[in-house]
Amino acid sequence: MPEIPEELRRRIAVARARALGEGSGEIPAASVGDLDPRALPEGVASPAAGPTEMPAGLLERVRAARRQAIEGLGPVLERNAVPKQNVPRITPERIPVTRTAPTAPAPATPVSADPVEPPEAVQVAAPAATAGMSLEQAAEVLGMPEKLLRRSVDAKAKALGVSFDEALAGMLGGAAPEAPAATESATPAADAVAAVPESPVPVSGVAPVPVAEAPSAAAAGMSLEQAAEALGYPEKLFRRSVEAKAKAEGVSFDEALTGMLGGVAPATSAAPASPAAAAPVAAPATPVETPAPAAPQPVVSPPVGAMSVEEAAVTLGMPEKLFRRSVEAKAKALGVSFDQALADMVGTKAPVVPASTAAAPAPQPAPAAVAPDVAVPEAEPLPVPAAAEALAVAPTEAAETPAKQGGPSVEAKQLYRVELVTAVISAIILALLALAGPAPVFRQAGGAADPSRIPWYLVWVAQLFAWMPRDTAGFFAPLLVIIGLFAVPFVDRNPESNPSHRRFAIALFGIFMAALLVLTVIGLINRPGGFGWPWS
Amino acid sequence: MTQEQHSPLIHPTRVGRYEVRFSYTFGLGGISIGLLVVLVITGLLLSFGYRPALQNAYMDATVQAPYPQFLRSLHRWSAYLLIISSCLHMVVVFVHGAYKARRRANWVIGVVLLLGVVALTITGTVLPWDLSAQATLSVVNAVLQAIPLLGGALAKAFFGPTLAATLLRAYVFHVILLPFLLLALTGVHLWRVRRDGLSEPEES
Repeated sequence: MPEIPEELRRRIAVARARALGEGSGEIPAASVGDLDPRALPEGVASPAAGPTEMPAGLLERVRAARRQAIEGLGPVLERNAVPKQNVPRITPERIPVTRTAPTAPAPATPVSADPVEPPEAVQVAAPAATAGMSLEQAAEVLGMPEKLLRRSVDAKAKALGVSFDEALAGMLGGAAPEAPAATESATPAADAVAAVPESPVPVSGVAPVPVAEAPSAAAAGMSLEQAAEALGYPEKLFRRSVEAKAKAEGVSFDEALTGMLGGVAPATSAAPASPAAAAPVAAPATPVETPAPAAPQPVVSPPVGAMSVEEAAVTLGMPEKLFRRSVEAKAKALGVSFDQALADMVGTKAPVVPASTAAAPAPQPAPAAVAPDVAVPEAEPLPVPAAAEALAVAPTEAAETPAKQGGPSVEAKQLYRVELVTAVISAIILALLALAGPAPVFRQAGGAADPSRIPWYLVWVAQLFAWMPRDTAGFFAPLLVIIGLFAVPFVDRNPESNPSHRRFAIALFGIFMAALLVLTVIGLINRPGGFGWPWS
Repeated sequence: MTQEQHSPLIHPTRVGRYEVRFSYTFGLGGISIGLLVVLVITGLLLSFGYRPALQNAYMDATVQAPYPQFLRSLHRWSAYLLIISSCLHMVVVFVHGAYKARRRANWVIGVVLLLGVVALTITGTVLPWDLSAQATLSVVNAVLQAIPLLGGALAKAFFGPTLAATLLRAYVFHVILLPFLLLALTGVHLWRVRRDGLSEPEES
């Protein structure tokens, strides 16, 4: 699942850019808590009272969602961890198994665990010993520069309003620095293959986290602007997201908005065939990989409080398209359906809303529906991070990230291959061109200048001289070109980078480049000894 | 995906699997770097057989032997292709919006690099001291003279008092000043790419 480190990278980049005070181009994090009424101009109602008042519970919900999204990074950090040989390993004995898990509601999280060796798996996958871990150690274990990690933790601490140590502990919470022994031995490739059947904890299920949705009524009266502000998204982006959802589900804009805010998409049950609409969150017992191949796959039905891709993406703070692609890649890699992959990712990473919101708690998934025939009857309950841990050591992961074992990653190898092929082909083309079209030899300089010998890359300037006054052609037009090129990133401040959403900018730049090209072509045709116009 | 220890320095520390696709970048930045390397090598070899004086330049630059001719052809084609690949690289970067936010500075550096490439090509065209050099100089003169207020002084500074001075200045610009600036800025450009990573691919 290589997209997740991408996600981690993105988050670090955001935190870093924020810490440095640079614009990051990313969607800014929600800063509802930082909203200062004194900063509002007079005449504008303060957020505490008036039309911009936030519905009860929304603030908590947003904060909780963000906290959970960040804590969902635990497995991500773990997967990125590159333990170094000279770092004192944190052995399982030193890992306190008990951890105050703020996200996972302690009761009623039955996870269908592997029947073979759950205790060991739990021990290996236990949350990292964060209590005794200094920042330096954490940075070493995570393979991150310490400075970056410090900055990241700072940003998190500031965002959540907790102390530095708490933030650090929270970030490391799910990160077990100890990779399973199978992936660390001397013959990584063979072991990666061998590890497939005996992976300590096959991903056998997903913890059904109780999903307590904020009631739609709470958000019903909220305008788009308020919602966008509360969620910390640019309004334009959010509007587009809502529109996309409305279109996808065939509901009205308001319904879609309410659905996104309330967590219950109005048309979800009506259109179960659409993966976007019917994707279950924390689907009870959707086994990604069962140890016993004969075990029947349970039929995944959209559970209560199912979360669509859009909502999951919003909750995780990821662009929806990226997230969708990530889910697709995971589904393909594990050979499961899109819905199962989504449920797996969302269920293990970021349960939607904790019970603390609990304005109107959604019905808990009934235990009978949780683990039907597939799971072992006496399945040991695993904490949610442990389930995520199991996901991290899934065979596909072991096979896909050989970087841990000392070789270049798959991406790096592919990159080298692409570069090698490109370089060889380019070199061949260059050599052929040099042989076929040797550098021309003209008469020695002297006498009157011959305009037909103006090199092609200056022809556009010469053509400007033919059409315009000297000052314009020689100074203002080239100056405009140069300044225009320099100014591109300062004029275009749209954070969007998808070409299909920037048609105007791309059209403008295309016209600009096409103008240079056309001027060059006209100049080449027109210059003495050129081809000349066909009609003249 | 953490490949910090394994990737040569010209790469970003992390490259996603969507970003390594050829169709995402068309390899244009890398091709430009490769052409730059070819230009440096062939330019160095060519400089052994070239004297920047009026009575020698044309003769030296038009020696009709297979080896120097091939070197000259390689050098010239590389330069032309570098202009094209740089422009296309710029277009690709623009289309992907890879000039925003923290990559803003690198866009500016890239534009400076493009101007540097054009300046190097102009001065390089002057060196053989043939009709093409003369035509190029006439365009340069026209452009410099068109600059308000400073135009005359700039033209005088670039051309010098005599034709021999013009040739020598073009040579110094082409062989010493501009290459060092260009290579240094290219280093900064690559370092920024490495630091900032490739931009995230969008839905294709």
